[in-house]
Amino acid sequence: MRYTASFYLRIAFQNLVVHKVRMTLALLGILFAVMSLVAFGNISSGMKRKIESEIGKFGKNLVIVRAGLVHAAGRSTRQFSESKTLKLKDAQFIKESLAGVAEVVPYYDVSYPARYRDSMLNVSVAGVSNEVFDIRNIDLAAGRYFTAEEDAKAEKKAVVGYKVFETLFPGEDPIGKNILVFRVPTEIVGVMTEKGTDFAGQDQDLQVYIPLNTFMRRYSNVDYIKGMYVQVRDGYSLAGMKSALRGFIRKVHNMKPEQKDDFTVFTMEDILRTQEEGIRLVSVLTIIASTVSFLIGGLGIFAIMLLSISERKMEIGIRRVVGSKKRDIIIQFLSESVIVALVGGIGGILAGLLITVIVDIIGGFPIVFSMNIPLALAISMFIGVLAGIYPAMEGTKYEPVKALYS
Amino acid sequence: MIVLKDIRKSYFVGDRELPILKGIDLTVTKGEFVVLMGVSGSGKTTLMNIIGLLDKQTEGEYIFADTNVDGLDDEKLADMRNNHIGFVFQQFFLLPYLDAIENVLIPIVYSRKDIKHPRDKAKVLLGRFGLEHRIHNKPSQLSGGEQQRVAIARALVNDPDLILADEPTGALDSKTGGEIMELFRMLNDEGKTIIVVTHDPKLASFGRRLVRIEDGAISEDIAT
Repeated sequence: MRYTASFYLRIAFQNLVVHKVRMTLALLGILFAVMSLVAFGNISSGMKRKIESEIGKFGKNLVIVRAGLVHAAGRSTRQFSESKTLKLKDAQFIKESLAGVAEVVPYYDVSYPARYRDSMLNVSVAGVSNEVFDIRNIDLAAGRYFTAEEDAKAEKKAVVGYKVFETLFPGEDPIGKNILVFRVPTEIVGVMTEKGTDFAGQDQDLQVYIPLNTFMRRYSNVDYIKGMYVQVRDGYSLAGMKSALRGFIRKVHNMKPEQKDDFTVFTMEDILRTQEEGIRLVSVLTIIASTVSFLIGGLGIFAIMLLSISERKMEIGIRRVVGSKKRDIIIQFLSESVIVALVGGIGGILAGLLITVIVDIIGGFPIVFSMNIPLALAISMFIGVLAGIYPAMEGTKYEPVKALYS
Repeated sequence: MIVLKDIRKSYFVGDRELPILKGIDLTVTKGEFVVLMGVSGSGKTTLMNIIGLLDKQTEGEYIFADTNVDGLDDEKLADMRNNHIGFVFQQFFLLPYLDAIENVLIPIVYSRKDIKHPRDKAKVLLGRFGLEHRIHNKPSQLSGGEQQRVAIARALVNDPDLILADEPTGALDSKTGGEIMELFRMLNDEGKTIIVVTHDPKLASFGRRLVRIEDGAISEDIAT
């Protein structure tokens, strides 16, 4: 029995080798189908993993309130209109009055050059209360965070992003040094770890955090804020908090029902939804494309097997003469079509993995191998059986002697 | 070994009945070497197909290896062929993409006999026929005589009782054909039952019994 199985396998592979070009064409359909299935499955898992990690990097359970109208979509937020109506006390009200709010961090951010000696770098300066470090998961590479006390006293302290340190202080310890922000000398107390760009398109490594009070009194001299991060307690829904915040701020701002919002409330999920919808759309297209490819591949194998059977009548004849039964013939040709399909499937898996690695490296996604490889092989085998069954049955229709002499 | 009783075979072309075999009575016992001679159209090939369990008679009774084979189905017949008969044909019918030894091994794939070390056995057979240096050659790399010897090795690999050869020298020159017939003679000396079907009168001398078929009936049956 073992001998029989290995004999069939050898014959199947020998046929594959003898009819290289033909067999390659036949299995290309399966190869492409499996390749797209595997590559896309892996790449989309990688993308999803990246989105999840971005959410984690930005901070969990956050609702963002921005002054003015902001359109949040794709990988960026776009400002449609500015507004100076969002105040610091709004943030205090929210923290004191709304159920489910764990923490509110008001901020004011602006782009500005930072200088140290002869070097200059455009940075994003943000005035924030020191809770920001907690809710936005900011870790330090060196130094410390500024304290609530320093904030209250409006002291000129800064926590800077990694690139700020790298560019302005090459080979130098930045802690305790003063950089010029808004021409105001500001002491660096901490350096953040490298974080990259957050989902809103802000390069975290070019960020300079300064206590909010300091910022509003000594740097910009404004009485309004640009926005706030609202951290929601576990158990409260982000969507619910979004509408509660909107109603609350409208009330605090004494807005009439016909008035448009002068602020925008959104979550990271809102921004990332378009990406996830994109992934979903592409995955539907991939499934359609690979289904078509599988069908074409199946038809290819079907045609090649029919051809192969009519070419190998003599073989069928001699096998029948020396004692093969009809089911032996069926098993032989089925195993051939399954092997062709499997070779295509394995080729597709290898090509798919290669594409996965290339795309993930270029796109900067984490390399994830999802579990669709056994599925792809199973589908390939199924297609092989399906495509081979009719030709194999045809092969049993010849009478042994007639097959020999035809 | 073989008992044929009043075997008749007809083909139907439309409504017309074409009788091919018109009542054959033939008994072949173990160890015989029969040359079945007849011109083309005499019915000798049809008779060979019936003897070889590749075709069924329209009427009559056929007992092969103590078994009445008339009622056997396709699968049983395939088993009988595999177990008891080795076939040799004019065109050799070797599979072009398999080398000599793989061709010899084909019957083993379908065998229920427990043949130990089939590859070694195939090698020994090929060696006996002077093909030890050819075992990994494809049929296209072999001469006609060599191909026929591979085919005979294939016929022998599953230890059949009967070798059934249909015009085994038809595609070979007379010298090579003679060598092939000598080989059958040798196998017969070792106890194999052999039936050679041919139209070529020169082959009659290699057998030990001549059965002449004319127009679907036996016209001569003599020891040679």
